[in-house]
Amino acid sequence: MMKPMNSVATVKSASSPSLAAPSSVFLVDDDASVRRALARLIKSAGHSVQTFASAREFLDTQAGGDGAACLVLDVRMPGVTGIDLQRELQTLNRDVPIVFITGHGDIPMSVKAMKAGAVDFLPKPVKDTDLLRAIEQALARAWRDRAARKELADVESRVEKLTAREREVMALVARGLPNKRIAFELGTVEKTIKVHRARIMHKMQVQSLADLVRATEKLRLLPKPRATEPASAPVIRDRL
Amino acid sequence: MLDYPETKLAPSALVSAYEIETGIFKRIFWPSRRALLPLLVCAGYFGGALIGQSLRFPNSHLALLWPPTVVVLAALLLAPPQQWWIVLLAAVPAHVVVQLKDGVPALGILSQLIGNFGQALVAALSVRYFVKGRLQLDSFRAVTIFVLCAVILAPFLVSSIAAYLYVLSGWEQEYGYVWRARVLSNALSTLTLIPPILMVFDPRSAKTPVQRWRYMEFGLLTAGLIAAGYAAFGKQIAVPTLLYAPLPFLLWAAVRFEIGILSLALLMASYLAFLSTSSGLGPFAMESAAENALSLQFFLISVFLPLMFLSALISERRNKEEALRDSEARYRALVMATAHMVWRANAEGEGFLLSPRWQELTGQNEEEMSNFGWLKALHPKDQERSGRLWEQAMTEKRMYENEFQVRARDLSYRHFHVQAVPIIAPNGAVREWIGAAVDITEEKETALTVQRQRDELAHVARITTMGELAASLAHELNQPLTAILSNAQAAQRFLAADPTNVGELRAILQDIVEDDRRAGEVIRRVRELVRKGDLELAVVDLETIVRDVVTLIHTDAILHKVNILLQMDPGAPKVYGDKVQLQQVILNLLLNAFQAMKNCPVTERQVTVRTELDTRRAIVAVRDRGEGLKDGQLEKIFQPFYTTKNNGLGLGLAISRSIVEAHGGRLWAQNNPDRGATISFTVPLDEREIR
Repeated sequence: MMKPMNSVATVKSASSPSLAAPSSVFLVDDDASVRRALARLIKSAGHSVQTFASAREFLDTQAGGDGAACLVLDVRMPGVTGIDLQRELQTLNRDVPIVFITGHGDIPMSVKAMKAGAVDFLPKPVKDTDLLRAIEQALARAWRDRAARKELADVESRVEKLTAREREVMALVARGLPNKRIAFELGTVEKTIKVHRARIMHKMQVQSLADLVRATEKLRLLPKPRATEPASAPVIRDRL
Repeated sequence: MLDYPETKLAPSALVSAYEIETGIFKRIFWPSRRALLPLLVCAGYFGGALIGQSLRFPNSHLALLWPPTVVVLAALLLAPPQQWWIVLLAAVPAHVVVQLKDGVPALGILSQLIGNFGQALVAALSVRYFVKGRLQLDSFRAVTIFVLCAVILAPFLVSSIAAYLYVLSGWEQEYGYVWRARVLSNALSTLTLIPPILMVFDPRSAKTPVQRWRYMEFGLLTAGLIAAGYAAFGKQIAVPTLLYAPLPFLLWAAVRFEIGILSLALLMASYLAFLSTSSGLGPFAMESAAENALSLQFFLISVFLPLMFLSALISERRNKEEALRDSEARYRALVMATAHMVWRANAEGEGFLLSPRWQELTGQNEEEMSNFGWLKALHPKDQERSGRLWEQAMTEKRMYENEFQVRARDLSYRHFHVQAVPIIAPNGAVREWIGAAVDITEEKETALTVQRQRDELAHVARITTMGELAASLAHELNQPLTAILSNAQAAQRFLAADPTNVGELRAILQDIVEDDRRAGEVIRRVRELVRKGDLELAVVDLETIVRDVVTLIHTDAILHKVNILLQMDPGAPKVYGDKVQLQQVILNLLLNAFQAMKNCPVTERQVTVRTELDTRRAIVAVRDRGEGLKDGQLEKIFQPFYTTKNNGLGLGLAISRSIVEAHGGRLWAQNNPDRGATISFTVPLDEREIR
């Protein structure tokens, strides 16, 4: 694999939180020569590329892994089109930022794609800088999503450790109620609440009330960037 | 002339005033044609009897000739049978008057009437039995029938009875003598009088004008005959050698004139012989008058009969020659008059023209044409083949058929279609060739105009189709351009990063070249289809054509979410046709199939293009899985401006069909057994493929 060019490296450093973590680009295009050429271009920017001749092939492969990934997707393909794939991935809850490329993109199609969360919608023949910038953005989003998901997962695993009573107390604490009021609500004494609160602070690994509130907020805020919410979001809300 | 239809005088609404006037005039001042027949018969009978009576030998009842019977016979021969009763009835009063005048007793009158009429009827009936219609004494057969029936049979037969009646009625005494006399007299009369009468009433003789010198010749003949007759019969002492003096003149009449004139000459000779014999001169004036008469009659008949046959033979031959000459003249006139070039060649294939058109057209004379010189007047591209075909036809003795262009004197070219048939002699060799060349330049030009218009329409339709495909085609071109740009930019980046990595750069350059070629191919295909060129008939590979089209509409197929399946015949058929137009047909059929499936579920949208090899043609079938065609649509879809599309012109299939038919193929639609329809067309294979 080639080293990235300097000009791109600056873009890359700005958006890639961790150079050590592998980031891969998935490329789906039915046209072999276009596929090969785009793959070269993406590789030249230092990304690892995995190519697929059709949407079906991509769906069938459990592409992904630990690192952040994005999808460069041709709109017009025989069988399942790029737009179809985008919808399909969302229903499968396989979140991956998509950069569309198209031979002739009409406005309604691009609007549809963008509304559905595409990173960019680029016309063919695509300029290298445009494509690579879009890929960087997509990867950055992938990283952000990945970090957010990781944080959420952390919070969730901490919440898992709480007892049912502690979760009740935490929900009321996060609402900003004083201990006395919480004790009154839960039909107990302020002292007990204080003990619960200290345990919660400990288990949730937070130093301050503000930190605790932010952690509980995450459980609610995470799904926001998606038009269609992840299936897990309602479960979390129920727990709160 | 006598069988005159009465209708002509009947005034009708359509007859002009003039005709009515002349008709009335004729009725008043001229006896009607129907009345003419009995009048003529009556007068002829009467006059004939008078003449017959004047030709009696002294002291005898017997006449040398007895014309009344002949007059009746002639009338019977000329008139249609349904008018015979008029003839017979008209003769009765004349007969009675003449006989009364002659002092014949009543029974004699009756028996003579029976004899005369009976003989005329037997003769007429027997002649009519062999000759339908009017008797014309211009062939050997006719004369033979005439002689056998009218000259021999009827007198012999009827005289046997009539002589008995004469004796019985007491008018004559000796049966044998009466019989002989009657037979000879009637035979001679029939022989000499019937032909002239038939000649006079022959409508043909009235039509052919007689030249003046013929009259002079006839006068000369008459004079010679009289002189010869005098020499033969006019002497007191018979000189037997002089008996034949009239013969040369009779031969003259037989050879130079028709049979009627010959008979007149015979009549004349008979009369001269009678005159001299009755006045006791000539070789026949020996015993009694009766015996003189009989021997003279017998002599005359025996001389005349061969002359009659000779005349018949000569006139038959003359008629045949005339017919041949007429036919020849007609044939020549036909050849000259026709716009076609009619020609003739001998067995060696050397031609000499019959019609002057070739010379008029090319300026070649016969000498220049000979020895295959005519080939030089052909278009250079036609010369070799025409010469070869002609030689081939000559060796195989088969019909020669060819088409070529002839260079006219003004250096323009005209198309000719030539055919020649060999006339084969009984020994199997070619006697000669008869050929005709037809100028088909106009037809060719018309066909060319039609073809040109069809091509232009096809071109317009192609442009329209390509316009509809523009977006897909742009995408098709965009793909290689995308690859080229990305490859080039990747190369730039690789170069900047690591200028030593030549391997990757080489691969990129190779891909760029390949993609450029691919872009060029797209442009070539598009240009091929939109180009406005003349029809180029050539041997083309059917599979290549199909694949080119499928590649061209690859993107459009994706747009329509249609999967195209190819089933190509492994025989890789080579067909004869215009590549572009065949592509157009396949393109139209594919687009039509796309359209047919627009309401199908995406997974069902499949078009199968199948090529198949027949013995002498290739079949291309485009099968869709759409809704199929309704009964009325199977043919309707090929009509111009029939469309199910909102924005279609409805010309695609109509033009496809006209293209296929111009290629000598067929285009048809049928529904598939399961679903959808198949539109197939045939196109003839290249000739080499057939063999």
